[in-house]
Amino acid sequence: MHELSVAESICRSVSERVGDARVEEMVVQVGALSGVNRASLEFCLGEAAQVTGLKLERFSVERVPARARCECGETYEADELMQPCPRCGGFSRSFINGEDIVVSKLVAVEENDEAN
Amino acid sequence: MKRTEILDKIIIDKGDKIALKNRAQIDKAGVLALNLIGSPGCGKTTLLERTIAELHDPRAGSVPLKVGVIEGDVQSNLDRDRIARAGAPATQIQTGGACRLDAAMVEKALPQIPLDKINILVIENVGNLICPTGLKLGEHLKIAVISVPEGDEKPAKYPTVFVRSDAAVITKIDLLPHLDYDLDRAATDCRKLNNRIKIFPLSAKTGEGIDAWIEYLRRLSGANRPARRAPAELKEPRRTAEQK
Repeated sequence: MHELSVAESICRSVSERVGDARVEEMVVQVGALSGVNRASLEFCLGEAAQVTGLKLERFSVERVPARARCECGETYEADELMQPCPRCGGFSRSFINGEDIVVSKLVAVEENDEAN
Repeated sequence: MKRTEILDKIIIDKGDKIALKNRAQIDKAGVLALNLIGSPGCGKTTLLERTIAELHDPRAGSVPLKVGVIEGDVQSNLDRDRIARAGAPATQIQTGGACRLDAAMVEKALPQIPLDKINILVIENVGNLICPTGLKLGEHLKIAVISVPEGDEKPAKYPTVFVRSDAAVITKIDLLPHLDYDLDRAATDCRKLNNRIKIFPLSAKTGEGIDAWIEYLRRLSGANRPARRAPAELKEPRRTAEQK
C-alpha cells in the first residue's frame, strides 16, 4: 500500500500550483508501468487531501496503457505487458511510456472575491 | 469567484529529483550502484554474501572489488549484520512498515557507506516483487531476483519488474532436481517482457553459474570508473527514450 504516499505527493504538487483555491475537478492518469493501483490511489486521494489541506471536490483516477515501439517500426498499446507486436509477432520492443503519474485535468476555483 | 482550468499537465515527482542527487554522489565516487528487487526469501542476501566473497577474492588476472550494501527491511538489523560478517560495509534502513525503499531513505543512508572505499554499492530493497519497481533510488541498474522454489511463472505473473530490470538472477538452481521448475519458460518469459534483459541462473550455495554473474558485475564496475566514459547501458537509455 504505497498509494497513500503517492496520493500525498499529488496533493502537494497540486497545492503548490493552485494555492488556496478549491479544486473543483481533478483527473489523475496512472501509467500501466507506474506501479500504482488505480482504485487504491482513488481511495487514498480523499484521505491525502485532508492530511495536506487541499480542498478537493471531484476527482478520478484513470489507468493509461503502456505504449510500445517495436523494432519493426510498429507502435502499439500494450495493455498486457507480455503482448507481442501485432504486426510482426515479435518481442523486440521498448516501452515508450507508462511510467508516469500525471494530473491531466485540473479545474481550480478561487473564492477570494467573495470574501471581500 | 474565478474559475481556472490549468491546461498544462502536472507530472508527479516520485522522488526522481532526490534519486538524481543520490546518483550524482554515487557517480562522483565512480561507484556502480545496483537496486536488488525480489520477494522475501528469494535469496537476495545469500546472493550478496556470495557475491561479496567472490568479488573480494583476487583471482588470476583480476583486481579485488569492494562492495558496500544498504539493506532495506521493514524491521530488524539481521541483514546488515549478515553483510557485515561477510566483510562489507553495510547499513540498514528500517522502513517501519513501508513496502519499498524510496530515494529519500537512500539519501539518508548514503553517508553511512564509505563510497570512496568501495567499487559497487548494492541497495537491497525490501522483500517485494511489486512495489519497489516504480521508484528510482539513484541506481544504475535494477536487478530482479527470483528463485526456483517460487515457481517458473513469476515473470508472467509479476511482469513490471522484468520490464524495468537490466538483469534477472534466478537463484537456488541447486533445487532444480527436486522441483518442477521450467528454467526455459522463466527465461523465455523474461525475454518476452524485455528482450535486453540479461539472465543469470545460479546457486549461491554450490557456486554453479556464479562466474557469469561476477563477470557481468566486474565488467560494469570497470565501466563506471570516473576516468572512463560510462557505456550506453549505464545511462538508462530506455528511461530517457521513454520520456520523449
